Amino acid sequence: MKPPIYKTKEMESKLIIKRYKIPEDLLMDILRILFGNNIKHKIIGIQQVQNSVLLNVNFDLNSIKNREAKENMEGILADYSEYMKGLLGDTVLMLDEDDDETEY
Amino acid sequence: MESTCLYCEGHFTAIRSSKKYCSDNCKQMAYFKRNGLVLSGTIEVESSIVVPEVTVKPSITNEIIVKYDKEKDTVKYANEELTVKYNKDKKSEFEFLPLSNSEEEEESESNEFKEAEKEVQKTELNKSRVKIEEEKKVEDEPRYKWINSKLISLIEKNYEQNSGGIKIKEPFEYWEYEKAKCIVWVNIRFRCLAESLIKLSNYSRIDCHTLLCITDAFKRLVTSATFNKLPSDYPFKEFIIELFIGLNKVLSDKVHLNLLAFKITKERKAQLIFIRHQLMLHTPEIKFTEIDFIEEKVHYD
Repeated sequence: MKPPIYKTKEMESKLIIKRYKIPEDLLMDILRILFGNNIKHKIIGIQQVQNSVLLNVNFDLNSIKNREAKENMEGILADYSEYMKGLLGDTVLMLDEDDDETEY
Repeated sequence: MESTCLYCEGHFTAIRSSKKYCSDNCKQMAYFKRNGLVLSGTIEVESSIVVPEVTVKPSITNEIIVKYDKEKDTVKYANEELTVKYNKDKKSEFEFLPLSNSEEEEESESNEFKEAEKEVQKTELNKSRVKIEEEKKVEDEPRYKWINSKLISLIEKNYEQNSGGIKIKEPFEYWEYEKAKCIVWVNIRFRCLAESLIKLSNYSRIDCHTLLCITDAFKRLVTSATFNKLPSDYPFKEFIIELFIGLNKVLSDKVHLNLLAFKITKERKAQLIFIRHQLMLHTPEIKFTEIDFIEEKVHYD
């Protein structure tokens, strides 16, 4: 039986969930980051028409690796958004957790 | 044993041969004397060492004046006057430590200084140890391996090679007026077709008719008189022809299907995204349904 892990309020607040829409072009790169760094994630949906995956990713901002992985992921998505400006329509790749995506 | 006090020069009986002062008071006064201090109200031994007022002139402009008294000290600093009162009952505040003779005192002072120095050195050592340990911990942690997207790397590679980027930005500066007009006409259509191809490649399935329309538009563009007038150093000419041939091949293979998966290689997609990104800044955007690929006369947009 594992001993319980106690966390202070500050530590708790650094555990965040971010939602991303990953286009097919970047899917393998993003999965490499998630699996390579043991980052908790959950595929919450796929958008069949646009060939994209909706991911919920849990980041522990207390961990340097997690922080860098987040930066890495968001950097890739931001670059892609820049190059694809105007081609993705209303698609937003980095969403807030509360944003609804209904077309699955 | 009879001895003479070094401070008041009075005779006294000493138990130890090294005893120099008749009382603690004399010992204390001797200490003040050595350090150039005299308490007001006490018997002055030497007039030169009596310091009733100490004036400290700071480097700025304000003056600090300290007046010593039996029961209170007055400190003047600029216009403010502060008084420090001595409470005689509170011995602990003004109790002097019993002093031994001057040599012992100096020795003890130097010992204390040495001990303090040792303590400082120890703490510094500990601090440096902690720092080294922290650094080791950081080094021990496996460093994060940055992952680059293959597609984005390929786009950036295209930018590094910068195939014709500057020429495309200002065609009228690089080519003759007639040729530059042809380039602008082709650029507008090519931007539209490139965007269409990128968008289609993002869908899992596309209608075969859509692909047919795109291929037809490429055919019209490539066979147009304006396209043939393009200068030989126009950077995208070969790529447009290459795309047209590729689309034709895909269409001939899958013309029997209603829906088809349209995929382009990462290298080609990166090139398309790069060209479109360049054209985006200097070429107007026109929708595929609104653009005219047929060319009776040369269009100069």
